[in-house]
Amino acid sequence: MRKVQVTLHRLANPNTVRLIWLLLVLAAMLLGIGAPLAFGGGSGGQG
Amino acid sequence: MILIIALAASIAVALLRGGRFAGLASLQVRCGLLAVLAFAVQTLFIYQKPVQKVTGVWGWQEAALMGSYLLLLATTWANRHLHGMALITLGLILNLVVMAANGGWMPIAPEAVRRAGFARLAPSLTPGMRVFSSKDIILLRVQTRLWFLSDIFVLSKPFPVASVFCVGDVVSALGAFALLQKGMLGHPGRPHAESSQE
Repeated sequence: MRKVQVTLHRLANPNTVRLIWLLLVLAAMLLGIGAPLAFGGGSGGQG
Repeated sequence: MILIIALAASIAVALLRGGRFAGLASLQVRCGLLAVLAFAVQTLFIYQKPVQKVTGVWGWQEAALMGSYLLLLATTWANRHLHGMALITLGLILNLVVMAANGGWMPIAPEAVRRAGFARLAPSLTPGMRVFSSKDIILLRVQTRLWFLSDIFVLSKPFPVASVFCVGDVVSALGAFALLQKGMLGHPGRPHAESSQE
């Protein structure tokens, strides 16, 4: 329980939130710029 | 997908070099919502059923896709203070230029689709056909304007994740690598920003 509390506290930490936001923005930027081909894995992801 | 792998690899390299996530958290990202919005707009087209397009004819989809690139451009401009953002912007412009020159979609040759094992992602490999889960349109090399900027690089087996990418993707990946290295390793001679868990 204590470990969960510590983890939640860390997640709510402004630095952690800023880090997650930066990685999210960077990923959105890169996927937006480049080709996200292979989301279907080339294994017939047409569904 | 290859860019996300590059992102993960950049983080891994920075960690191996002694980098810390706390350094990244200290970076100021501006207008980040624009990038998320741009990718959200793109997903509408990326995951739509692939159809045959009349190459060179622009519709609202092509205009919206190009608009999403302008949103991304605004984001990179707002974040030009970040190390590596110039390269990310250059990659973006290269992709934007080749897509704009080819009817608003990223051209890919039928051979590249076949070699990557993505042939099942398009109903046929005829020129003008869109490819599912991508911003690509199948075009023959002779039909492609600025061919060298289109999706010409193919990663297939034995590489674990098959992928097709272009020069602009590589340039953007290098920019992201530079950003993450600088962010995670901090400035030489300057301590890393500490997280509030000190």
